[in-house]
Amino acid sequence: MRNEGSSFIDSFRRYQQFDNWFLAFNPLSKLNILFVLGFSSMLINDWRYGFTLSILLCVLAFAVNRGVKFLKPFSVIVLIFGFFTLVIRQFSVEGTTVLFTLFGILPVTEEALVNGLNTASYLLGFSGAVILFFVTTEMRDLMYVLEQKGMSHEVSYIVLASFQTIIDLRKNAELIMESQKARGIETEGSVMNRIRAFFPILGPLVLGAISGTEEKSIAMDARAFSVKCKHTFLRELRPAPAWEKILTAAADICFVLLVVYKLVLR
Amino acid sequence: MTAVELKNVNYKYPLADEYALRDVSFRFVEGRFYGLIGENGGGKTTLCNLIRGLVPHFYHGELEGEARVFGMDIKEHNAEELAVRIGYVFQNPFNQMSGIKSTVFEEVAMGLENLGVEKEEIIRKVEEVCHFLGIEELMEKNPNELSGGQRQRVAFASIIVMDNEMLVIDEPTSQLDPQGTENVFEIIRNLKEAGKTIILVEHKIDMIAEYCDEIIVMKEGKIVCSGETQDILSRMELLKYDAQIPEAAIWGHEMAAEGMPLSRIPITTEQAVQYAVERRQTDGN
Amino acid sequence: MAIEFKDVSFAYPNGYVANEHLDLVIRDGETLAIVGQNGAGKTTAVKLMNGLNKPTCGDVLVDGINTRERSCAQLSRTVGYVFQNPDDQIFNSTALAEIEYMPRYLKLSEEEITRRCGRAVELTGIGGYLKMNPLDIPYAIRKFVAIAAIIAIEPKYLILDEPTAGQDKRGNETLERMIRELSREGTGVIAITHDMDFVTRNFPRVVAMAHKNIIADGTAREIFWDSKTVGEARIKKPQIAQIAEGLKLPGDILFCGELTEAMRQEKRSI
Repeated sequence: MRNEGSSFIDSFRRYQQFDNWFLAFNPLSKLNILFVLGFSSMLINDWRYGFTLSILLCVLAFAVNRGVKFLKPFSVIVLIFGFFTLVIRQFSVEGTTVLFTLFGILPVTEEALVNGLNTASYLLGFSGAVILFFVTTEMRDLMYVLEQKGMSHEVSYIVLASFQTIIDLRKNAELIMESQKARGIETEGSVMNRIRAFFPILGPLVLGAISGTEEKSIAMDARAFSVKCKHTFLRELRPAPAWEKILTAAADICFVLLVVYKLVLR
Repeated sequence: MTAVELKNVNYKYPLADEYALRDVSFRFVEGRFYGLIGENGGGKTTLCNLIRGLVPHFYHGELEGEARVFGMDIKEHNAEELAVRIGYVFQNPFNQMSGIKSTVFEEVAMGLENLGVEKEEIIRKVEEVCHFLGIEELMEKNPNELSGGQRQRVAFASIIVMDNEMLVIDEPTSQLDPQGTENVFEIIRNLKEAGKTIILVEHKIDMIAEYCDEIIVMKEGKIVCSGETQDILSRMELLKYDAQIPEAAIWGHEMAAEGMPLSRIPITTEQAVQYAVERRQTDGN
Repeated sequence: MAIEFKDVSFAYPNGYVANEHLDLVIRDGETLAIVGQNGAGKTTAVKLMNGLNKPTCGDVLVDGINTRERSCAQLSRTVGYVFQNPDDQIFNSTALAEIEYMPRYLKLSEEEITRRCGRAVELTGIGGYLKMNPLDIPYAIRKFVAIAAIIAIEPKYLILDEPTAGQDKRGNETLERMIRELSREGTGVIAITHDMDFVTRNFPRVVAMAHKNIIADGTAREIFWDSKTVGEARIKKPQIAQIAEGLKLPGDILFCGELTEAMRQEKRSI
């Protein structure tokens, strides 16, 4: 047959290939492990654990070639959560051990600092785990495994299509903005100008999105979207290998033990 | 064999005051290529919607008379299955992309995935269709980043791959340039040769004249005339119905009025040239 | 007074060059069609006329004013531009409100608003749709609502992007009447279109574009009977011209009457 040699088409005949083991990791197992790690930092609530975890997540991100993608949102979180928690805790937690006095008037206490560090570290550990998941997992792969587990393909479609919708909306907004500028509505400059330009831009954007939906649903029905039967998946992921399952189970067991330990300790 | 049979069909959209279809009776025969022309708002798209079962299954409203598709009353058809058996391509190429696939190959394959067709079979069919439409070079591209003309070809591929016995095509070229239009009509010609029943709504009358077997003219929800393309498009009275006729036919009538009638009224460039050459020969003798 | 392009090139911020070395003068009240394949740079070029695009090199002057020195919104009083898709423009809840929006935005007197809207409605023939919500108006008519909203600004130059797309016979007739009327009153009309019969009937001047450049600028007759331009711009000759070519008739024929006349001449000469 023609095109037998095309590596692109052949890629659908095999399980999907990924650059490294972590990217290939079954999305649900990955989600499971990372969430357990994230929650563990919340439960332990100790800055030594939280920061170690954050650094490990960071190292892992770089090891699997997603370092830059990971650092972009993560550094924002570090700045916002990390910094503000430390500052706010100085005001909300009363401490007696004054370490030093800032600007000669604001006392920085050890209790408040530790408390702040603990909170900041668990927030970082948790968000780091979530971010790492999303920068190492393609949404369509997550939807694929969820559909395998019985989630309806309607839900999967809505989730996946909404990403494209956001891209389309941005493109549309630019076009509408141009169209309104071309008729004489100032969209730049003073705040008043921008406020007056709000409806002329938002209106067509929303209406366009709504009127497109009906056509799209008709188009999708013509492609058997609503026909009830078992679907084929052109793109397939390999089933999770034993070591992945064991790793996931181990993580879950550790987490359960941790919960029990925390409960008993109370 | 009859593909679609309509008898005295009246239809009103929900909340509408006026009928969108009035006393429409027509028999669509399998394997024929029908051109649906006439004024905007004349009922062309509603007729397409009826044939595809969108009326009454999707739009509801009041449907009177008899409409049979593939021998079965339209109301008794399973709407989901009918939507697939009759392929549909329309004007806006953007709304025909699923938006969830990252390559054209996967986009085209989506319909077959939804039907649960076996994987090797999907790959074979998608390759075949991409070859048929000459879009092999697009297969690995992202469908959401293509030009309008390219997307329209992908939209055709995504429908044709499902091997429908009948296709309804509603103004597929109104957003395309002449090259894109030619490409689309080439596709439709190939489909006709493959024996499909085709119903096409189109304003480009020179293209209709060249490709269609039969013409249906609609105005104010009624079929005002219908018949063989050659016969219908050569009639000046079409202009009365706010439908267009090819420039070649207008010229043919003018020649007759000026006392130099051609052997018959041409509707395409080739015919016009041929009849005029014949006229020259008789004049020369 | 005129729109002047002086060796204008334009590149998008991502580096894609869409126009190269355009030189063009559109005089006051001139009616002109721009033809060529999609991707030839037609839309980019007209966006340079109203300041939506500012030239990367060279200058565009509108009535002597460099477009770099004005915002697009300011230029829009002089150069009106109707986008291809009316849904990118329309946002008011009735067609009338849509047409009145700009005159009100410009704080014109109530009388002036009524006069302008009346004229815009008459030219576009949408009198029967004024109270309707634009969403309930058929797409082809919606295009006329969008055109009317720009005409109400009374620009000196009016740019139409693909006005015939999706129009039926009556829509085309309305468009043609509107263009005739506007140009009689001295408004310059510039249209981008793929419909060559529409071009032949309405536009004394045609600019053909291909691969980012203007490749020909002349009358419809000159453009359509220059096979090099027709090939390069990938445009389609009007049917009557195709027939005349097939019959090898002289005189660069474009219209029905001319073709009949040529046949008569030929008959006489036999």
